[in-house]
Amino acid sequence: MQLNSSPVQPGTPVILGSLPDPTIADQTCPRRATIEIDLMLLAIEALDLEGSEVILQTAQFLELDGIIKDRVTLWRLRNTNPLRRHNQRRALSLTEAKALVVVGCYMARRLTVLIRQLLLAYQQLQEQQLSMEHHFRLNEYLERFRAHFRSRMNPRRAAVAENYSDESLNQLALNLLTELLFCTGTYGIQRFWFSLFDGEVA
Amino acid sequence: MTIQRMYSLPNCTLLLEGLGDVISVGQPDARLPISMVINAECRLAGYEKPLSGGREFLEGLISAVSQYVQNLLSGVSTTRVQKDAPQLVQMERLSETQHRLTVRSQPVEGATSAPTVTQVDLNTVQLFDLVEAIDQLLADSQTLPDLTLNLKPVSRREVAKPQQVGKQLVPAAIGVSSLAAATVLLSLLPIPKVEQPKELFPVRQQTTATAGGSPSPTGSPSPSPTTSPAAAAPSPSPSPTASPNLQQLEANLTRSPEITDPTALNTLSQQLRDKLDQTWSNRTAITQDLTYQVGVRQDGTITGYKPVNPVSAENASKTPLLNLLSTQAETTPASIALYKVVFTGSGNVAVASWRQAMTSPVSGIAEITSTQELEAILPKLTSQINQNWAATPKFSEDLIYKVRVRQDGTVVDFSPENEAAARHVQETPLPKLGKPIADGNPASVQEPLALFKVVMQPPDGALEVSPWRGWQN
Repeated sequence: MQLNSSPVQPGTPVILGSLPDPTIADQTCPRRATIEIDLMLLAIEALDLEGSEVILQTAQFLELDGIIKDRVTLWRLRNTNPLRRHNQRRALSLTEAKALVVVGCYMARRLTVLIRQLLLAYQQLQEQQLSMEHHFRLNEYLERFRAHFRSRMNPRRAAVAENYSDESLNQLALNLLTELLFCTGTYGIQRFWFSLFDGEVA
Repeated sequence: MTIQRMYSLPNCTLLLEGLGDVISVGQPDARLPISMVINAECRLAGYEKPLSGGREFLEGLISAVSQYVQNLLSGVSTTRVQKDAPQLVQMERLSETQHRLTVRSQPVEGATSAPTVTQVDLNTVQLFDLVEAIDQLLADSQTLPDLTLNLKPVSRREVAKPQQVGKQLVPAAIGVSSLAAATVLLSLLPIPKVEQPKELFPVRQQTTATAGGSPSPTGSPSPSPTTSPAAAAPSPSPSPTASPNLQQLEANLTRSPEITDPTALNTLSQQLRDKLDQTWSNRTAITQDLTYQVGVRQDGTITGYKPVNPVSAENASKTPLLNLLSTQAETTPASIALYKVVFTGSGNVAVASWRQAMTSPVSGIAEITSTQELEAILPKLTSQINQNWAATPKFSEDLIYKVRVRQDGTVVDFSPENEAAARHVQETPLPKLGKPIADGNPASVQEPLALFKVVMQPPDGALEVSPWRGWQN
């Protein structure tokens, strides 16, 4: 495993060195990866009201503010997601993707307790066959996620239109919650990073 | 000297016993690296007996769990694991929140007894704790330094083809096409002429009717449902696209027993979606969302549908539902699955299980959603609130509450839905009628409840009560 052996390019923050470059053709993020990264941050924003502000602070704290400079840069990076209303039609570079992943996983780790609580609540509601509305905090997360998703994603995209109903957005939000939990672990960042390239490498 | 290492998390404890190969002199406190495993033990919360084994078990556990989590994260399944020889440890997804870990005991040479198989079902949080224990072990350079996190993205070659979809689609396609073929053939048959009886002999009249009324279906190439005598019998409108009897269609929905098996529901839902998607030709014809309750038999045929609102009823002919209806007369009530189907104005089809869409549980405690019942409960709730105002309210904003109500109109509990509602709750009659929903943990109840939205408006607390999910019609 080349986890520690991947050469750190000059000018690249050290913290990104733990994430190796996958062997993909043009060294930019595949379509699915840009969507996944943006949705993961969207889920964090639905969990944490000040999420978008904290993303910037975290980037600064982790010394990634060379890549995620300010609100506008962050907006441009996230709008590489092809499902966005204001899609930037440019690729997300691997370095930019790494920075977003590291920041996201770092924030997820701070939200560990809440994420665990919500997932346990979800499981209990399922066992008792109750709807999500019965758990106040979980319902709040789902409502916020749906609102964020609908206000930012382009409903003319098939992938968005198919997932526009409350039920499917709830399912998406719950899947993302599971993903976030696995991002909080010792190797959470690596696990999430590698999962982004499943089925994309030669 | 045996060395023990323990990685402990709330739901999972991983205990390793092994031998170190370095004999350190003068450094008794230093952590010696374990280089050989004698025993690995994994204790999971809720299971008395720990899973245990040697190095082979440990490696199997690490690779199976690790790969499973990567699949879970990416949603891309792989053929990688299955290629290796017999797996000691396997993981399998049971549902959104349940994961099954299967461990086979290592075969002992010369032993005659079959290897034992242990199955452990984990929820997502427990699975995470297991992964985390494993990751901590991998990250620990003093324990089995040769074991490290060995992640590699699944390559394009290794992606498991979603065979299941293909397997389901083929029979569905055959079904649809044979139905179409049969329809074409049947339409070629002359409409049976019923001879006018010349003499009024009732007995004779009956025999002519049956003789002319049973065109032989032998011309049909396949045993399609439409070739049954019932469909071919003389009827005023033999064309399957003729306007259907709406009441009959609705009756089909209520008369039959329901399919509740989640996997069957899932499969049927996919079939239904694909079928509707393929047959819906004129997508621009509808301008707003049309919603229907649709019943589907086990074999995928649509037995009936019911428009949810008047717009949907008027525009039913613009959807493919009519053409897909099974024309077979129901002889025995087969079990059906109910779906909520929405044709959106933007030209998409959405299919969801009816029960899920109504978020009422599959069994046990049901939510009251029928318009009739809600209409009956609403005035009871309104009058209770109106009668229980203690003093003139002082609030100056709208207060919005979600209230759970029993069939007889009594309030079970409520929760404020906006900030003002939380502040002024003591001025309202609600605390007298029911208890507040404790943060996220509603009391579990054993009877059906209805959800209402109650809005109180300043200055005098004028009431607006409506069903939480809106009126269905």
